[in-house]
Amino acid sequence: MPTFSSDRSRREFLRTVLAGGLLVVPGSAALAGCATAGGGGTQDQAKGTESEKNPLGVDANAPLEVVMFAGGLKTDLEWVQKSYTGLYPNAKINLTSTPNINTLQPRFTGGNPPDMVNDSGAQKIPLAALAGAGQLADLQPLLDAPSLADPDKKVRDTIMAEAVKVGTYDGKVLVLNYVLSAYGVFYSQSLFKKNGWTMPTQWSEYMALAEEMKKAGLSPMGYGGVNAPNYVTEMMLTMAGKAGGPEVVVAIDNLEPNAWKHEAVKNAATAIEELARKDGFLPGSPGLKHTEAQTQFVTGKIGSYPSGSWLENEMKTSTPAGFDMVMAPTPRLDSSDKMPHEALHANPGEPFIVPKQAKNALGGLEWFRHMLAPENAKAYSEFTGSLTIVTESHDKVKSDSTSLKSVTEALKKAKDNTFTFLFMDWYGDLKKNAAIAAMSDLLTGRTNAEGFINAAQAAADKVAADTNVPKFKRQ
Amino acid sequence: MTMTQVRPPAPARPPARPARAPLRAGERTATAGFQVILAAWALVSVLPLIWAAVTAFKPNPEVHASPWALPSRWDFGNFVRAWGAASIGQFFLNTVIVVSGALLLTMLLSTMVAYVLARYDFPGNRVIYYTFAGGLMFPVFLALVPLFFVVRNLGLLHSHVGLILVYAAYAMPFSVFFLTAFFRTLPTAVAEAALIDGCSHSGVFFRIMLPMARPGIVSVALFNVLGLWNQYLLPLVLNQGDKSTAVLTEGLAALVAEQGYASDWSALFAGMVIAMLPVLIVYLIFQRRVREGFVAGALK
Amino acid sequence: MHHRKYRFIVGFLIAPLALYVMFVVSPNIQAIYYSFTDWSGYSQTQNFIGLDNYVRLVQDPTFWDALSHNGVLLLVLPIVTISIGLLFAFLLNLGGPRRGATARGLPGSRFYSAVYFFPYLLSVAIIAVLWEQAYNPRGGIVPGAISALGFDPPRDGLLGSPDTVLWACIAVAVWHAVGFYVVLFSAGIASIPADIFEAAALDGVNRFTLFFRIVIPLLWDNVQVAFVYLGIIALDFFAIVNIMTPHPEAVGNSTEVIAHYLFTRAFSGDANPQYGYASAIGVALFFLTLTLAAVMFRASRREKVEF
Repeated sequence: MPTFSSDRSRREFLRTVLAGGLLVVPGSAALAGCATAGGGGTQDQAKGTESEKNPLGVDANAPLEVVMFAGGLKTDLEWVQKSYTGLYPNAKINLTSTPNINTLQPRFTGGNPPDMVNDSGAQKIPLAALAGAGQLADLQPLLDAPSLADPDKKVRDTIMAEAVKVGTYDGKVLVLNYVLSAYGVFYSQSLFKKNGWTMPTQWSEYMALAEEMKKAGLSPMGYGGVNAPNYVTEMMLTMAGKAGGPEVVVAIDNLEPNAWKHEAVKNAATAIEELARKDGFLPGSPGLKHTEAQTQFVTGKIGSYPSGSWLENEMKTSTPAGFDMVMAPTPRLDSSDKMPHEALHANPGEPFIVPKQAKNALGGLEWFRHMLAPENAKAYSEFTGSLTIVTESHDKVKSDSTSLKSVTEALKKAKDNTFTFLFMDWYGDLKKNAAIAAMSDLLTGRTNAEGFINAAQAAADKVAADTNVPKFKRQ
Repeated sequence: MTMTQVRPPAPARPPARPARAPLRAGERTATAGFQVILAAWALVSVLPLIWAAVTAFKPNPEVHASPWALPSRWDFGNFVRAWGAASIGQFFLNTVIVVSGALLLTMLLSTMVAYVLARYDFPGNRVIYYTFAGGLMFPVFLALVPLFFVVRNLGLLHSHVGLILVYAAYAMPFSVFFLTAFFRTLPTAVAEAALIDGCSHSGVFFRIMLPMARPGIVSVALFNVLGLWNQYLLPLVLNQGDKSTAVLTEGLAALVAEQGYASDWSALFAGMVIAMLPVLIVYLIFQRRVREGFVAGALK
Repeated sequence: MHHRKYRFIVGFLIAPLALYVMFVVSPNIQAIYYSFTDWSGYSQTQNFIGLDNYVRLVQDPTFWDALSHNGVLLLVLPIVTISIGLLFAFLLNLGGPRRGATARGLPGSRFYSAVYFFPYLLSVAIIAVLWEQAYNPRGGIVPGAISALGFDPPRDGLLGSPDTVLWACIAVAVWHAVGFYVVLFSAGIASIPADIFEAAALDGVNRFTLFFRIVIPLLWDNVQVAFVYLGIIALDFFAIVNIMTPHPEAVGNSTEVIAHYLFTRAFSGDANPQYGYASAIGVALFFLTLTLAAVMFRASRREKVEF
């Protein structure tokens, strides 16, 4: 426990006190000199010598601090720890997990962030902010390094190209999303079999099935209105993307004028309005949190549930045996859609970053290299029931998970017909005002499809005009 | 209930009624009505707590079924999971260390400041008083980020000492505000006499004023125990990621947040019960004294 | 003599002031400085932008929304809590059957005041989680109780509709606080000289009059203390909102309060963090509290009832 040691001169003590109490700018160079033990600077970053086994030049003795997000995919990545210490037996790994990643904020500004962060969850640090502040290490050296399993291959060639694209900010790869997330409509295979139902491919058929479900005493869908109505927005935009092609959602991401007023978005919003009006969503959904609504789904009060591929793992403790959760692609609006029914909203999710100022940033990159080894990616998938961006690992995964199987299958069938949208990560205010506020109004009948479109477009226009918000572009 | 208007004071007062006169019918209905109201609020006060306690024993799928149903089987495993997830034992110890240290420091420093501010006229008295009182009005998390750097630059992150100092500093505005008012209400004669008899200023403070101020000090101390015990924002930022110095509320916050993703509802309820129990037990043992202590100072 | 006095004053003030200035005053002053910058909270540098954040603040509709909700809280929370507290304190101590000249409490009053105090002991964070579960439209005890009484609980859940959500939050705060004020006012009643009640009884004063004409005026000092405490809670109200309705925008912003809006702007993972702007919101909140404190201070100068 640090205390003022007696040998410290009075002047030095005073200087510390002044630095602690009165200096205004944190993390400035002037201050680093005054800081007591542990005060970080960027100059003393750990570095070792490069070799064939150690292509990134990691300091084999440097300790490594990893902070994981304690969420639906919570894991201590034991296999990666083993793999890393296998190569560097003297490296001490300190892996912690927290649901509140944003408590790391002062460590970023203060210049002593951890070496590797899984920046995810409702309390994540906005990636756009970290990228904009120059806090993230360039992942280029990692992508160009040889893969751990096969030195003849670069890391870049073992992972989905999409992952690199999504993690690129202003031309630099700063983030790698580790988990391959696919979105769709989930249901219980056993329940459907019992009732003789099949998941429809078109919305009109889904509305017919919804009537059947209601007759059987089930709500067709549900959502967590308190904190996550945006999963319905996700479903709506997936329908819009399928109908009008990915360019529809790309325009929304790019804040193009009238992007939300596209015909496809209008039709998708109308479909949601219709379902809401016909009691298609579990009564009480607006007053539930997402896991509470999902609990209603796995306990048989809801027939089908729009979500992502982590759902099964997230609900593990509440799901009864024999539920057999599976995912189907979101129904398309109608047969004139631009994309086939198999098309999916899929994207690399679950961001991992290496802070630029980390003491052992190279170790962070090296940890990443171990995570991306196919064997370790496979272990991750088998533990969490979610695929990773490491394409080579997909076929190796052995699992009893019905959900994982159905997701793998759906991705195969989708082929190149996958797309994604990023505005919710890029623009917090747009997520807030369009995906959450306007959608809540639509789902509870406080507005109609047209009102929703207008509100969402107004929110987008406002963000576009706001000079305080850094903007991003994509294709 | 009788709702007659106030009569003007009668010139000749009627004689007092005999002590054991039978109750009027109106009195009886009124009394019964009041009893119903009081009992209803008692129910409102405890029912959510009892419900939480019962639910904590339910197997997970039953948590969001009927609120009135008893558990189909009493599942103690929920508590084991909650306890394990939050390493409660270690956190409990840390909390006791930090809260008692901070409490002693707060009380010592605040009584000193409050006494001087209440009893001595000197230039700057008002400025210092309002500096402390103003601390009541600043939202704590505005200061969080700068505070982190202050503590870090002193090398006191992840330490009990750091937490104790910060807790004490943040408990001071309320304590000083409250105690200053209290010291002003105390009679001055004794202290003046002692000073004339040659007692030093600090002697007067420690030997005469502190004992006299006991009710106020007990009140403030109780408020501080409760406030410090439940402190959550400060340790979350100053302790992050370090389980060896984490306090109870951090553990429970983590538990609650994790349940938000893991959907282990019964463990969430069990965790809440674990968190509530120590305070409620201490209260039940000392309840009258606690209640009296809380208000003793506030009444002045 | 004077020299000794000043040495004593300085000696007593120096350590507490040093601690306080270092950990409370200086961080807040730094925060005030940030309110004049465009600091995001993540960069290592920031630009001085003068009053821009404050200009933006007065044009920000969400800020005014939040302000109006704090206003509602500031009125409703103290009035409801104090009314209930006064009523129960009265019933417990003076509401009993009238026999002769001495007013007495209702039977069971000790038990009741012990039980009423329970919620006050729990941390706001815990009770917010508890009540979030209690309001759950699926299996929560509040909708359960509403249907048990023969009414239909609101379809969207009490936390899911703009019409009910703020009141649901206020109810939790009242539930939490009432017990303390019952005890506070009970102690106040106990300190009223007994001959006042005897005189009242001799005059044949009924309970209604006793309550409104005698007890409340005599407890006015305590009521003012209660107003100050509850006012502080009403101006913060962060924990309850953040836990029970983390996304006020999902319910038409009807639970957004200034403290939560500040938090969203500074830390939330969903918004573009703007620490400088958040600091400006905090400074505004500070001045708001200050104004209110001044108003209360003036109001409390009205003449007191002496006994």
